[in-house]
Amino acid sequence: MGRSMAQLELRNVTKRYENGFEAVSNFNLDIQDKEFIIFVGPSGCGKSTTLRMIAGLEEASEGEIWIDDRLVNYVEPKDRDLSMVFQNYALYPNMTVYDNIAFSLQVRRLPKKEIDNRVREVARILEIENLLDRRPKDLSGGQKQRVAIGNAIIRRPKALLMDEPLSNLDAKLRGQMRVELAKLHERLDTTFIYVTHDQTEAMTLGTRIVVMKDGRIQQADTPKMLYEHPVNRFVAGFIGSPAMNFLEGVVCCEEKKLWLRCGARMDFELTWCSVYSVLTDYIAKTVTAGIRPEDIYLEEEYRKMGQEEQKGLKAVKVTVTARELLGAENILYFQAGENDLIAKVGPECAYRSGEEITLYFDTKRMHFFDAGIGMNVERCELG
Amino acid sequence: MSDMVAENIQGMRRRAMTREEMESLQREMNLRAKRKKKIRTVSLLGANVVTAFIILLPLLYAVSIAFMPSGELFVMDLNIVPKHPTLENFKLALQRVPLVRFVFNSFLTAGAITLGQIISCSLSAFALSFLDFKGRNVVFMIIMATMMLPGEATIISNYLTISSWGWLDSYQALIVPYLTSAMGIFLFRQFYLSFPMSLYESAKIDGCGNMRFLVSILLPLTKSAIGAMAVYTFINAWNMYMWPLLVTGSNNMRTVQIGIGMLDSVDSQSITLMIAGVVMIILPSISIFIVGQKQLIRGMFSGAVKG
Ligand SMILES: Nc1ncnc2c1ncn2[C@@H]1O[C@H](COP(=O)(O)OP(=O)(O)OP(=O)(O)O)[C@@H](O)[C@H]1O
Ligand SMILES: [Mg+2]
Repeated sequence: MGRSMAQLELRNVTKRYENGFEAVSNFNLDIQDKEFIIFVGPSGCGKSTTLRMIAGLEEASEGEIWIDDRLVNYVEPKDRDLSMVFQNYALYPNMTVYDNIAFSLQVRRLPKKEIDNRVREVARILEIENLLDRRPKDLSGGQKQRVAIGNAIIRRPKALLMDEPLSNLDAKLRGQMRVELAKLHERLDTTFIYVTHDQTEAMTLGTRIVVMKDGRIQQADTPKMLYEHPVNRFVAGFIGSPAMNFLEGVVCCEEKKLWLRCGARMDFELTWCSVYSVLTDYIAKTVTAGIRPEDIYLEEEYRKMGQEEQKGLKAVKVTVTARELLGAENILYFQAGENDLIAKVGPECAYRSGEEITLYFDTKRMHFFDAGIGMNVERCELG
Repeated sequence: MSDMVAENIQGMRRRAMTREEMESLQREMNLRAKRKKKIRTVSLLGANVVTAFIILLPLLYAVSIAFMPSGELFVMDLNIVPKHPTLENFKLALQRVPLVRFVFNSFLTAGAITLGQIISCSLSAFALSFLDFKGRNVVFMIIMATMMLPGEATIISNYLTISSWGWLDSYQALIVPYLTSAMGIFLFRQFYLSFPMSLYESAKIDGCGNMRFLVSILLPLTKSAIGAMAVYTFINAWNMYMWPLLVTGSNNMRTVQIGIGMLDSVDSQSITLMIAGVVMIILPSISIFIVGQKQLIRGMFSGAVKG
C-alpha cells in the first residue's frame, strides 16, 4: 500500500477542559513513521485526551501538533488523514458491514469500482469476507472489532489511532486479536498509536511505550528499557505483573562494603549491583529498593544455579501467607519482616500458608529509587 | 435362578404398564392444558370485546346518528340503530359547507406543519446534542421554557403579528407559526442523547459532514421517533380550532374543524347533519392513526425501554 511518510510531533501540548481541569500537561513526543506507540497509565491519566487531540476531536489548549511538517492544531479531523478505532467500535448500525467499511471512501466520492476493490482487499486481510452483507448487530464482539479496524484502514491513513480497542473482548479473544494487530502493523506499515491500560498489550505490541500519570509523561521508551530501567518508582510499579516489590532501607557502609538495611534480618550486600557507584552517594540515606517478583527464587531453584549465577543472591527467611497456582507458575505471597512481598516461582513449589522458608533475592537485578522524589538513582546520576 | 427370571418378568410388565399409563396420562394432561388455554383465550377475547364496545359506544352511536333522519333522533323511545337509514345528512352537509375543500385545507396545513416540524426539530435537536458551542444549555433551557407558556397567552399577539404582515386568511397564517415545537425538539434531543457520541466522532473522522451524518445515519436510526412525532403532530395540527378560527375568514381557507362549527351554527335542528360531517372528517385522523400506531407506540416507549 503506497502512502506518504508520517511523522507526528507533539510539542508542549496541554489540554485544559472547560471546567479548568488540566487533563494533559506539557506533553512532548516525537513519533516516527511506522512506530507502534502505546499510551499506558492508570485510569484518568489523560491517554484518551491525548489521542483525541491528535485525532482532532479535542482542541489542544496550548502547544503544537505537527503531522509531516504541517501544523494541524486547527485542521479538521477529516483533513488530518488519520483514522481512529473506538472502544465501543462505533459501527453505523443502519449500514451493512460492507458500507461500514466503505463509508469513508463513499463520503469522498471515490469511484464505485475502486471502493469495491479496496473493501474486498481489506475484508480479505481481516478475514471478514463472508460477513460483508451483515449488519453490525448480527456480529460478535471480535467481528465488530475487525469491521471497525477495516473502516479505519481502508483509507490508508497516515496513522491509525486506537482507544482501548480490545477492552470489550473476553480474555481469550483479546489474546488472539493482539497477535493479529501485531501482524496487521507489520503488514500495513503504518504508524499505530494505541491506548490501553492493559500492560500485557503494551509490552507485547509496542515498539515504544509512553507511560503517563496525571497528564504527564513519566517515561517514553522501548518495552525492554521500561522493564529494565524504569525512571521512577511509578513506572517500576506500573510495568510488570505482578507488580514490583518495594522495600524501604538505609544504605550503609561496613567492612568496606555497601549494605542495604531493611529492618530485622534483611540486609542486602550491594557489591554486585549495577548501580553500585551511584549508591555510594546515598550512604546513610534512605532509599526504596525495588525487586521484581520474578527475581526472587526458591531454595531448590537456587541450588540448581551455577556459581556465577548464585553470586549476589541473598537468602532471606520469610513466612508464606498465600500461594496461587497459575498453571506454569506460582505466585507466592509472603512476609519478610514487616513487608508483604510477592514472588513468582516455578510450578513445583508446594508451600502452604504459614510455612517458614528461605527465598533468594537477586540483588544484581534490584532497582533503587530516591525515597523522596521516587526517581531511579541511576537517573539522578545522569541528571 | 428362577427367582431372578420371575423378577425380570414382573419388572417388564410393570414397565410396560407404566408406559401405557404415562401415555394416556400425558394425553389427558395435554387435553386439559389445551382446554384451559382455550378458556382463557375466549374469556380474554370476550372481555376485550365488551370493553372495546363500551369505549366505542359513543363513536358507534355517532355513526348511527349520522344515518338517521333528523326527526328520528328526538323521540322518547330508545333508538340506537336508525329505523330508516338515510344518506340525506351527508348530502346536506356537503351542500351546506364546502367540506371537501375544508378537508383539503386541513390536510395541507397538517401535512406542512408535520413536515416542517420534523425538519426543524431534528436539525435543532442535532445541534443541541452533538455540536459543542457556548451557551448550548442556556439555549436549550430557553426552548424548554417556552413550553410553559400556554398557547392562549400568545394567541392575540400572534394574531396581531400575522395581520400586520397581511397574512390573514392565507395558508402561511395557518402553517408558519407552527413550523417548530419545543416538544418536538425535546423529544428528538432525548433520542439523540441516547446515541453514542463516538458514532458522531467516527463519522467526523471518516470525513462525513454534519448534514450527511444527519441524513444518512441519524435519521434512519430514529425512524420510530420520527414516526411517533409525525403522527402526534399531524393529529394535533388536524385538531387545531382556535387559531384557524381567528386567522381564516373565507371558505377557501377554513379547516374542517371550523367547518363542523359552521354546520352547527346554522340552526339547532341540525345535530344529525353535524354528526354526519364529523363522521366524514374523523375518517382521515383515524386512518392516519391506524397506519401509524405501531410507530407511535414504539416511539413513545423506545425512549423508556433501552433496546
Ligand atoms: N469533557 C471533560 N471535561 C472535564 N474533564 C474531563 C473531560 N473529559 C475528560 N476529563 C478528565 O480528564 C482526565 C483524563 O481523561 P481521559 O479520558 O483522557 O483519561 P484516560 O487516561 O483515557 O482514562 P481511561 O483509562 O479511564 O480511559 C480525567 O480525569 C477526566 O475526568
Ligand atoms: Mg480513555
